[in-house]
Amino acid sequence: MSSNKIVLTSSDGESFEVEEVVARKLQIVGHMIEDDCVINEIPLQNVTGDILSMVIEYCKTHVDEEESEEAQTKLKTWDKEFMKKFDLKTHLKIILAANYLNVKGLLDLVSQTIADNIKDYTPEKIREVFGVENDYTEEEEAEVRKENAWAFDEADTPKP
Amino acid sequence: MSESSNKQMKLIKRIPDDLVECILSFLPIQSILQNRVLSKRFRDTWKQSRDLDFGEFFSVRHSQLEAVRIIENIFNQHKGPEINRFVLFLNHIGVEDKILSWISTCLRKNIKELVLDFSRSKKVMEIPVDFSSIETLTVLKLQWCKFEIPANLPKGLRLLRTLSLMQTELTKEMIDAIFNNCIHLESLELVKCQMYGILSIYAHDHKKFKSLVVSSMPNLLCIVLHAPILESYKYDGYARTIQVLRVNALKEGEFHYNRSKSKHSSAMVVGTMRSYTAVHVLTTTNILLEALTYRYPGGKLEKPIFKFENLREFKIFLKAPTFCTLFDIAEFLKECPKLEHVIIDIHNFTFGPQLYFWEMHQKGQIQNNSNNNYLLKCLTDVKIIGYKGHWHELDIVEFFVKNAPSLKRLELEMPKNAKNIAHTPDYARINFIKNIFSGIKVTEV
Repeated sequence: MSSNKIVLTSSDGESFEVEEVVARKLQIVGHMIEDDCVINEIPLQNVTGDILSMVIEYCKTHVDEEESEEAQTKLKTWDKEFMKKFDLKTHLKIILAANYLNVKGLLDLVSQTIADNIKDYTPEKIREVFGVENDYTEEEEAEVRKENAWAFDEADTPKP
Repeated sequence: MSESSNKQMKLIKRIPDDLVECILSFLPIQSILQNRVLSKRFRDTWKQSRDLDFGEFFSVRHSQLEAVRIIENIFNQHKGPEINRFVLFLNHIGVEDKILSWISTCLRKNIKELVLDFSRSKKVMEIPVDFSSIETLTVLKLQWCKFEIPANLPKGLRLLRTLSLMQTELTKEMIDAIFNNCIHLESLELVKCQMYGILSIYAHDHKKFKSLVVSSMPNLLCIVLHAPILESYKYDGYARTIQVLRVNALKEGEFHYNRSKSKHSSAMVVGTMRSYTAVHVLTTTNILLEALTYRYPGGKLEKPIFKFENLREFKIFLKAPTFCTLFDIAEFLKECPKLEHVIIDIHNFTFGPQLYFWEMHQKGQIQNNSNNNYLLKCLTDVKIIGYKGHWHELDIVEFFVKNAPSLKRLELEMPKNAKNIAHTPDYARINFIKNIFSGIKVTEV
């Protein structure tokens, strides 16, 4: 693999010089390289420097994927520790970045992490977290609740 | 970026629906179903669910028929490309075909964690699934479910980290195959498995093998365990099972010894103990203390010499019949210089109304402790579970308040029905003890 360096620039003007193999983990960059519209500096409009540095850290660690099973289990542990460092707000920023930059592994990882953290939230709280607007009428919402009454029953009973 | 709408000016940028859907798909199925009410957009997100958890909480609240109907419905409508986890706790009798089709769906969708518990049927399910060939699994837990693994390296289970088997027939060849194949195994749990003879585990090449549980396997004659990085070993079973342990990294040991009809040898129990004296946490029963007591091996009163240099936490269960008294406990504790926490569990145990040996030989030594022989310098927490106000229990409490200068908490947990069996409180003694250490807390459970 070539050891070309590529400079990634965040929306707030921070620059990161990384190996091309690392940059290719961002599929958005991968496509740009293939489409030949790259010289050696890539501006990334939708991600700030602090978040971009986290994404790059993830990509650097995962650069040799598909290696031995041992390396894979090691990565799993690293992933967990990496995610523990951030709060929900940062997780949401990372998921937006992972989606924009198109990093599939990070997208799954951060989705799982967020899901683990919000699994005991009420639907009302989850709407708030994601900014979802309730477009059901009262009757419709009651109807949907009724369809899966069992799921709600259990939620109301305190777990032993 | 257009910022025309005020709604987009929220603290966090609004997460696009597709991403919310992606996140929700990782929620346990019950939680996703609750979130159908978020908005119309997410009414069908549950069909993407990756976590199909129908564990105990689910199944105890539904009739068999209802539970099967709900699970069947979810599998029939499942559209997502992946199922990461499937947990099933169900009576399998009569619905074997359905269970098989659910598992097949999971296999097609790259299942990673599979937990099947058929303990409700009280009959082992002879399932025609070759678990050992599933390549994607990282967690496999089977209860009352047939498990086989061929000796000639199957292609599956190479990523397995956790294996738990309960009520399964096991052979030496299967154990070898598990360790040959599951090179990344972190945790192995064997509970009530039918296995005869010797359980031998050689895990020199297993760089992750940190935890082992062997519980209720009465037909084992011997356990041979070579696991250089094992950190936690929990054994629950007869004391007569010979144990040959090479576990130099062990931090947490549980030796929940039980008595069997055929006698065990105290020398053997002590011999095994020599291999785990470096642990930080130890749980055991009175059988270990009995093995460490004074004896007359050659006409001379002797007891084994030992030291638990690193021990921080010690928990002991007392079970009848035993001759153990505070003396045996104190003699053990004084060999643990760094001890911080002690739990004594006498929930299912009551000291005899008279303890002659204690009165005649031991009491004096414990109570006239003039040389501070029993000083417990680091001890901060003591808990007695199953406290009933027996006079010898007060001896124990008195011992701790006198010998543990750093004591911070002393908790006496009284069983709810203790009022019926409790002894008339000896208020004079209780006051005497409280004068030395006032922070005693009595709780009822």
